[in-house]
Amino acid sequence: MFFQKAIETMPREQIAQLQSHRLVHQARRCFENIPFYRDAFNEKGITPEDIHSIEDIQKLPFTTKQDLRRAYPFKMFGIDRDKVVRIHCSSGTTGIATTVGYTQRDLDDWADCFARVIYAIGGGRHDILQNCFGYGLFTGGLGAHYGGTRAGCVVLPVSVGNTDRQVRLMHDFGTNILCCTPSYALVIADRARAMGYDPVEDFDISMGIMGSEPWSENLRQQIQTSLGIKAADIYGLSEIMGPGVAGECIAQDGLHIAEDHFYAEIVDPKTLAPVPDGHYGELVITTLTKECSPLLRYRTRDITRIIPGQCLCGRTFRRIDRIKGRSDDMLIIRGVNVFPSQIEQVITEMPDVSPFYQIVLTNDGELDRIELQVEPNEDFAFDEVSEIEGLRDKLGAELKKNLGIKVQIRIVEPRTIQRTTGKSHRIIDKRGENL
Amino acid sequence: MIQQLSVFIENTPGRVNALFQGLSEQGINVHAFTIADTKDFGIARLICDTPKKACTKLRDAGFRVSLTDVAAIYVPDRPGGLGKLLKLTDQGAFDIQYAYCFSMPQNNEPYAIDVMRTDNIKGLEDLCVNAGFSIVPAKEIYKLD
Ligand SMILES: [Zn+2]
Repeated sequence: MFFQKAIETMPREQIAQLQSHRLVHQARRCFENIPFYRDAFNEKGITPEDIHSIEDIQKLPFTTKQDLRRAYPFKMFGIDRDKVVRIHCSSGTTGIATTVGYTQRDLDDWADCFARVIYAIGGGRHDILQNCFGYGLFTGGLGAHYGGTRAGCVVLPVSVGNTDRQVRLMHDFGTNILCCTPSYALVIADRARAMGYDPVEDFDISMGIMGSEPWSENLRQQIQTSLGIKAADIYGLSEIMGPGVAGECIAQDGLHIAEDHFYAEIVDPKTLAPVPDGHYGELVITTLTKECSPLLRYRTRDITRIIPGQCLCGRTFRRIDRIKGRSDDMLIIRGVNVFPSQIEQVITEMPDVSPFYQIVLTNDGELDRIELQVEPNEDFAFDEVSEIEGLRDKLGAELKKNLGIKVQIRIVEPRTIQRTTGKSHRIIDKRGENL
Repeated sequence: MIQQLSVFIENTPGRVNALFQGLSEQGINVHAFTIADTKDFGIARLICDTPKKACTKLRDAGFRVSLTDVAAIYVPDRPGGLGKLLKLTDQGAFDIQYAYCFSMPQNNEPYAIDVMRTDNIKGLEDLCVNAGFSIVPAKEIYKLD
């Protein structure tokens, strides 16, 4: 099902033409209206006249979260203040929010983008959409709300929390589509069972649109079976636009980028050079149509890749893979990008080791060395050195297969590793220290 | 057949000491101790008087512990005593993963106990009994806890 078939299935050459046309216009808007971009263009020695097509995008400067913080509150607005109809902002961990404004057209485009994802997962007019994303300055709630309205759904603006009521409404109203974070979907499913319902049998719900936190395929399967739904991943970020920048279709094989509004690049987070399709790197987004808060080459810090090839659903928009992690968490070991989440994944799939781990990075003068410390599980039965070695080698082989590099494994005694929920304590980087 | 404690020990200073401290604090008496080690870690194998209790206590103290069944056979404590037993197990084509001895007098006679680990403990014990060896009953070694 398509919400805007002509756009979503546009031939690639036509998409490139449309993007080129819009980029030229957007570069000019940024240069003329936003001092930050005027300075950045000057620093690069370019003017809007140097931008003729989407091919020229690499000439443009990058934009970072820090740039947005410096522009607080409205210095990045690219349009007269009387055209602004909504402001969202993200509470930064550092305390300074990043502010993003919307014109009516920006909101309309956003609603279209979300509505496309509803259609792509099989939803549409008259479906009851229960929206459990939080309403407020956070973009999730209103993004799903206006997206649902645009798609012709009956929107239930319940927001987050009061799970008992969520379950009752879901049952009594016959909700068809659930919008929430993946972890909240599990909470709802658990609560429903505790209240005596079998969500698969007793509920009409058949679709989910979930996002705003990274989730694994395992978690998706769990959600799908416990609620009896098909769940689509949706991507968005407050700096660009809320949910709808990219979203999955019924094929569930990557998220189609709304390429009429956004141009995506994948770059090496260290060198900022583009990486080939299929390779992981940092997602960089240029907003092609946004009027109020246009951003050129915004570094999202999210790590993903472009999935090469055509999707079975018929959409021609390129797809990004599910977000693998944040570039801030990325380790570069012997030139290979490694995420703690990848290591975590391997560890959690090995029943004989406990989920606590520590990574120690060292450098012996030339080569980086990565050591992973793990504890055997309490019920791991062993009596021989070879059994411990076997466990170590099995883990090493799995990691080599998944990460592409050799990881030294040290099986350590229990309680050697600090019990902490934070990621920072799990990685000790001693590279650059004299050992 | 008796039960042996297998304890995972990291190759860092003080760990074996910590293990024995832990055992003595619980009043656990160790009859035999051997360690198989590599560069990074070792497995300490212990025969003690209360294996189940020792296992629980050590786990509580943060050690990784397994209980393993082993065969324990009396061997006369004199030259050639063990040789006869090993010849027998060789002939029986038993795959002995490891073995160690400790001495414990029986009826005022000097006797050694040979501990052997194999996958077929019952078969090994039968073979030994048929050849005139006697098997150490668990109650001789430990309080049946
Ligand atoms: Zn598709």
